[in-house]
Amino acid sequence: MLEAGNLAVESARDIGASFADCRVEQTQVFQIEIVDGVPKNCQIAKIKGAGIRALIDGSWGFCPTSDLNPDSIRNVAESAVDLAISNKDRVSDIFDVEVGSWKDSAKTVTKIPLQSVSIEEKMSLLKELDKEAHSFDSRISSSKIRYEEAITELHIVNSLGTDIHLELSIPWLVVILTACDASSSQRGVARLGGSGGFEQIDYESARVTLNESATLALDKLDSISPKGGTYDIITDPDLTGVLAHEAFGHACEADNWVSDVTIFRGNLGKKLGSEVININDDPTIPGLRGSFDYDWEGTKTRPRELIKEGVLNELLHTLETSSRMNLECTGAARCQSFMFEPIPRMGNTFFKPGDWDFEELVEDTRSGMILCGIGGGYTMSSKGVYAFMSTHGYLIEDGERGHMLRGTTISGEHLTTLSKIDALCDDFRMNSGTCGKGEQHVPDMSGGPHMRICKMVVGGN
Amino acid sequence: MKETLFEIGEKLLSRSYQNNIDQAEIYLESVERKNLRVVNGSVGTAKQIVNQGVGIRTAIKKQLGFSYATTLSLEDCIDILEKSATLARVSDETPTFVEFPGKSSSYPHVSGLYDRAIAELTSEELSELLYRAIEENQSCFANQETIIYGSLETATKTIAILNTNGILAHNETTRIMLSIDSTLRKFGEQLDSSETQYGTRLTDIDPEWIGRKAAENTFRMAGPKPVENKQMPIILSPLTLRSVFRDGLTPAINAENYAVGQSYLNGLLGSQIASEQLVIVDDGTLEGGYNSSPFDGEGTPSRRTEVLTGGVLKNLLHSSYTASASDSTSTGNAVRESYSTPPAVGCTNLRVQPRRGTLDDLFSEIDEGIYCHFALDYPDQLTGDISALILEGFLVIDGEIQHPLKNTFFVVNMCDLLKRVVSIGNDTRMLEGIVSPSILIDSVDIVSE
Repeated sequence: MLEAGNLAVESARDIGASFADCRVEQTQVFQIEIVDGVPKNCQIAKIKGAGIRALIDGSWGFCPTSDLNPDSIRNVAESAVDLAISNKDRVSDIFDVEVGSWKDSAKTVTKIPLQSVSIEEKMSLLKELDKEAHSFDSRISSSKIRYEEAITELHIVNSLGTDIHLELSIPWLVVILTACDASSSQRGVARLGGSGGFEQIDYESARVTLNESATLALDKLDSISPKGGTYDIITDPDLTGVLAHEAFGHACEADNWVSDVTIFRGNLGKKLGSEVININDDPTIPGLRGSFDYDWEGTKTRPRELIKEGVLNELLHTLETSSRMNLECTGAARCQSFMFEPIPRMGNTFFKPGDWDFEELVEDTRSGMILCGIGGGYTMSSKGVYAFMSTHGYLIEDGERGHMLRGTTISGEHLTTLSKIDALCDDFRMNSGTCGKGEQHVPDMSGGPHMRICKMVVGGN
Repeated sequence: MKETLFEIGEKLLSRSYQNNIDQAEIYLESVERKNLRVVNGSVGTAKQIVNQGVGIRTAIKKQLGFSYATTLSLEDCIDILEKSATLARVSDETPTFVEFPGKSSSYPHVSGLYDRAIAELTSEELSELLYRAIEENQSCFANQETIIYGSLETATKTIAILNTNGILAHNETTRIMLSIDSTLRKFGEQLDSSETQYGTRLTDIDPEWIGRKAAENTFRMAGPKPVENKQMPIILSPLTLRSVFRDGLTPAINAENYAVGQSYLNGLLGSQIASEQLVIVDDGTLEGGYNSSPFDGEGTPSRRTEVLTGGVLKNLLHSSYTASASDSTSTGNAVRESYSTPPAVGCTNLRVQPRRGTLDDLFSEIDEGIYCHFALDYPDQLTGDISALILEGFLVIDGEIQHPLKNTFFVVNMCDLLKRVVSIGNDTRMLEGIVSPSILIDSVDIVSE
């Protein structure tokens, strides 16, 4: 791997690249899914190859290859340089990457390495969970339990001397249960996982996840459709995390800033909301799904205080965006695999807790909705709007938690949302997920405390 | 490339016989993608990606395994075959599995899927095409403050499928996508819209039209306002229907979801579920269709399947697995995104039959209502509930657009949406696998700030 990376960078430099980098990757993916007791989608995959980038006068060329033979590496490096040359006369922002370099090795800490647990043992755990799901309650009509893991060895080198070797290990369990009665079918989804070994998916934690999924599906059978309108809402920690991710995290990815399409343009360093609001993206927290020591360009990563006391404080940078904006690189470059070029991404994104007691916040709110769960979301940075979906919720009537609600979509505008947040609770939870941007999907986490947002438009059902 | 893929496939099939694997299916793929992005007249990253790989399904009796590798090296492919078989050996039986598809007497001829003009585009020619769209877009804005984002991607794909039951299929396709997104800053507002075309032939793309339409779409976003919360008719554009049908209808007519009660259409096969006007087919043989092919992802011949005829749910979409599990016939809807995913039920080209009437004719039917050009949602597969934020939509009074909408949703259940279709236009567009004209729905809930 080392030889392929160095050869790629040397070859690109020799034929004119002012900067070149290469990610040589070897990933083993394993997945099993048990659907109503039957194994489905059992997969083992081998992802092996190198992604080579060349920069000339602000023009990038990118070519990946799965052939790591020296001749192939040289040819692909040459193709990347050719692509950069062919477009360099059509680049308006001429820049070069001028940062420090890092040499290091880092490895996910594991107590029980994923490779040390046999396929049979992993399958046995899922079968046990499947049995428990169907014996949990007769109204559980369908189960889908998926376990997936990725073990990655990544070597990152660049022409500035960076030489990073990473070993990553990410297991994940997703439990999707459907409950059914005469009037409706409802689904509960719960997730478990971080970065580490099989200790992340221990039996007791897996059972708690199963219980969460089953309870949610069953409780939702008696839920009612929320009526659309404008409400004061309290988001639960999971949905707070989705908001942190969709409304702020994506808007802080600096590729939107160098292309100048972000609605936040001109607001860096400006106060956008109450000083009780702090949003961090921190890939350095050990054991979380979105954690890593060095990013996919080999930059040492660090916590990013995106919103600090209500002020838009800093962005998620790659080498390119930090060079073009003349700001410190915050180590946020990530790729789905060697097939893709690095772009700014989040790791673990969250609102920091405040000092409200949850029960007191519900009482103080008087009328509105508590909205919960990770139902997904999207953001349109150039339009300045985002939407996110709850999986369930509760009415707030006369300051008390009322009837359970089905999921709904909530929308907001990037520029005004922070000013609508007026209370954060003293509780906290992170939940695991996968973030898609363009064609690339990467593991991440998001979370926060219960949080009140005033006058939000809720689509209803 | 065809010969290379078949040679590897045949060696792997021989190996599977030697290793006592009961059944094996080898899916080999080589894709060359070229991608160029331009922001504000400046080229971003230019990419040229050759993505080759193999996906192997094996069956030991009724136990199944799947494995893939991002390489076509024979050594890696053999390793992957063995891993797939290992997985099958430790797995439990899939009781409803019978066998991978057998050899077909013939495949349909589907024209318009490969265009040498796309396959041979140089990076300079790609750049020229994209800049034609960008320059047209720019010219519409004169000297106003704009950010123009352009993206052009081509793909040339060769696939081969071989299995131990006699399938030996090969296909070569090209695709092209050109998109312009323009953002205009004017009077303190940031207006944004886009236009995209998809095709399999170079002539499917009209760069100047894309550039001009993106500008027109952007201009009309000025001065958004909320509207009153009430029930109103709504025109859904082909762009909105791409999301509604792809994410809202396709999972519901998937035979696998239907069989296990994971569809809001559960129990309604053969019933009137939609307006009589609505005729929808899934057509894997559509000439020049974005998702057309002579065969599906496991080598079953592609075909045209009636989904809705006169509003009646006529058929579900089947792979060979769901067909044998329900004692029916595969509709050729085993879809594969690439070698890295096993075949799963999905739509090919979901076509809504157009009727008479332009978009203006549909507008003229509205006294007070909404035109939704672009909305996104992930409808609930179990309940069919849609709660979609209208990202580009307008209030329409007496057939005329009044103003764009601000922070407004349309809310409806898929079952009601299908039943409440009152008019279907003839402005058909092919947006990837959804081929639909605009549709007028007589009533949805509109929720605004």
